[in-house]
Amino acid sequence: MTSPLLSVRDLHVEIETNRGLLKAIRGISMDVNAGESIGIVGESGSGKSITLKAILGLLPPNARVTKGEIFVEGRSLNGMSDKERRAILAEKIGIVFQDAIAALNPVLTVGTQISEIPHRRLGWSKAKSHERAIELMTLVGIPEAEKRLKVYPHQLSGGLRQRVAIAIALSGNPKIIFCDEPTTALDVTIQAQVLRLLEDLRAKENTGIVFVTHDLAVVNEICEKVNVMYAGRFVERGTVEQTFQDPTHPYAYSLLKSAPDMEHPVERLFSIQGEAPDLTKPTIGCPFAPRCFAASEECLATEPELRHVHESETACHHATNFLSQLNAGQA
Amino acid sequence: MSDIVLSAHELSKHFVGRQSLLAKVRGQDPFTVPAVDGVDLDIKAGETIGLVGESGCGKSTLGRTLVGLYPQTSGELSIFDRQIGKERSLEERRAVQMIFQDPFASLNPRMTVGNMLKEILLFHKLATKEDVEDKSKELLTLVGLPTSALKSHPRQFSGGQRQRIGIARALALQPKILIADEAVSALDVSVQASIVNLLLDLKRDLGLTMLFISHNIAVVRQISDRIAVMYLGRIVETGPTEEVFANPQHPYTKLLLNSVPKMTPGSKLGEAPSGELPKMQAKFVGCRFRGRCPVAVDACATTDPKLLPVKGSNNPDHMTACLLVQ
Repeated sequence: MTSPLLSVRDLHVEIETNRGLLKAIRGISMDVNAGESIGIVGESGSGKSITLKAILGLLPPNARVTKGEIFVEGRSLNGMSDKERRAILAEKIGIVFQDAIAALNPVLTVGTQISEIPHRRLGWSKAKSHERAIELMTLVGIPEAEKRLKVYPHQLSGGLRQRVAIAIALSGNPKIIFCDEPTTALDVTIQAQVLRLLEDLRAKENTGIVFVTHDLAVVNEICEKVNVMYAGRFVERGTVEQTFQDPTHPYAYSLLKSAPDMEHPVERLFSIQGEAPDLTKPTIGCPFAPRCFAASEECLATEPELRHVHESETACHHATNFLSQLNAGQA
Repeated sequence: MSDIVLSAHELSKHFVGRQSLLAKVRGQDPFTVPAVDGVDLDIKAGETIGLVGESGCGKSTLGRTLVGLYPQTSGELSIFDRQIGKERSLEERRAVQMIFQDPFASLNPRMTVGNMLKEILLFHKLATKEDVEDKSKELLTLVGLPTSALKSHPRQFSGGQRQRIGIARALALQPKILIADEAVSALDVSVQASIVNLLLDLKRDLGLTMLFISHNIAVVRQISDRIAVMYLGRIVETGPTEEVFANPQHPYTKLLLNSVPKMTPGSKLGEAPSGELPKMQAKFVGCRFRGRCPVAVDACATTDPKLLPVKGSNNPDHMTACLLVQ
C-alpha cells in the first residue's frame, strides 16, 4: 500500500494571547489521498484555518506547533531544515485563501505572480514560466489570458481574483490544494463557478482537496468526506453521505439542523445554546458538554476520544443514543 | 386605510461621480451610477419580504434609501399613505428602522447598552426619566438578553448577542417597518439560527413588518413570506416565497436558485452558470440581464421589460420583468 499524500498525526498548536496560552489545536490526525476531497467544518474559532496554516508552516509569530508529526508522501517533515520543508510544501501543496485581494500582491501583475513559483521554485526559464501562466489562466477559466497577464489584481472582479489565486495555488503542480473558505466572500453564482472549477481539477488532475468552510451545503455538494471540528479537535468524521444523513455526534447533529435548507424550510431552526469554550482555560470532560442536550455526568468528567461508530468515527460517549435523549427532552 | 405600510413607486437612487473642473466647463454629464433605478415595491403590514440578489445589485442601497440614510433621487415613497419628502420628520424617521450587518461596527464601543437605549428613548420621548430603565429592560428581555446587560459595553458581548442589541435598539422606536440588511450574514450558522428564530418570534408576537435583505437565499426562504429578486438596480421578480421557489419565472431567478448549494443528501454540484454581474452603466437600453441570459431574443436588446404579473399564473402577486414570460 502506498502512503497517503499527506498525513498529520496528533497535531497540537498553541497560541500566545494576552489572555494566556490558547490551545487552538488539541490533537488532530488526518490523511489526504490523491483525488480525495475532504471538508473541515465548524464554527469560527474551532481551529479550522489554524489547522491548514500549521500544516503549511504559515502560523502567525505568536502561534507554534507544540506536538505532532506531518508526513508528505510518507516522509516526515520533523527534523528537516526550514528550507527543505518549505521546498517540499511549496511543491506539493497549494493554498487558496478566502480574501483574494489580501492574498494577492497589489503591486505585481497577475502574470508575474502566477509565474513566480514555476520560475523561482521549479527553476523554469522566464519564457516557459510565462507560457505556463497563460496555460493556468486558461485552465481556471480566465478569458483573454494573454491580455489579462498584464493587469493588476485591483483591476479584476472578485470572481476573477479568486481564479487568479487558484491559478497561483496550481502553478507548482501541487498534489493537494488547501482551500480556506475560498468562496465565502463570493456571490452564489460566482461561488458555483469556482466550486465547479475545483471539482473539475480534482476529477481531471486527481488533486487532493482539503476544503475548510462553515457552509455545510457547500461541503455536501463537493466533498466526499467531512471532518467536524469543535474546540480544536475533530469530533466526528466520516463520509459526507453518512454524516449528513446520520450524524453520530450531537454537535454535528446540531450544526446540520441549524443550517437552513433552501429546499426544505422548517418551522423553526435548531439553535445551539451557549458559546464555544474558552480554550485558554483547561477543558475538563467533553468541551461540547455544557451546550449539549444529551450530556451526562460521564461527559462532564472525561473527554471522549474518536472511536468507530457505525461507518463513522465520533468522539461522543452517547454516539448511538443521543437522539433518544433529545426526543425525551422535548416530550 | 389600506394594509400597505410602505410603498415605493419608481424609486431611484443615483450616485453622481465627482467631476473635474474641465469636464464641468465642457458641460459633460457627470458619471452616474443608478444603484437603484425605478423600483416598485409595496410592503404589507405584518409581512416579511426577502430581498435577494448579487453584491452590487443595489439591495443595500434600496434598504438605505427606504430608511432615509440616502435621499432618493427620484420617485415616490410613502409610509401609511403619507408621502415622504427628502427631509423626514422625527415621526417619519421613527417609522422605519434598520438592523445592520456588522454587529461590531454598528454599536458605539464607548456607550453602555443602557445609555444607548436611554438616549434613543428619551430623545424620541418614548420614555420619561423615571421609566426609561424599565422600558430598556423590557426591550432586552424581548430580544432574549439578561437585564444585567444594561451596564455592559458592546465589547463584552459575542457577535450574536451584539446583533440582539442592534435589534433592541431598532425596536426601541416602535418602528412600523424594520429593515434588516444582511443582519445574520456575519454570524456563525448556529448563532444565525437563533437570530432567525428571534426575528420569527418578534414577527409573530409584535406583528412586525420587515424587509429582510440578504444574499443567503436559504435564510431568506426560511424567514420570508414574499421574496423580491433584484438585478442591477431593478426588481426583476417578486411573489409569494413558495410560489417563486417552486416556479421561478425570470431567467435570472432560475440561475440564482440553481447556484445555491443544497443540503439534501446526495445533492451534487450542478453545471456552473456563466458570466458575472456586469458593471453599472449610466443608462441601460433593453433588458439588463440579456448579456447573461441563456434565452434572450432580439427584442430584449431594445425593449426594457416592466414588472408585470406572470401570464397564466393564478397568483396576481407573482410578477416578473421578462418579455418572454409576460
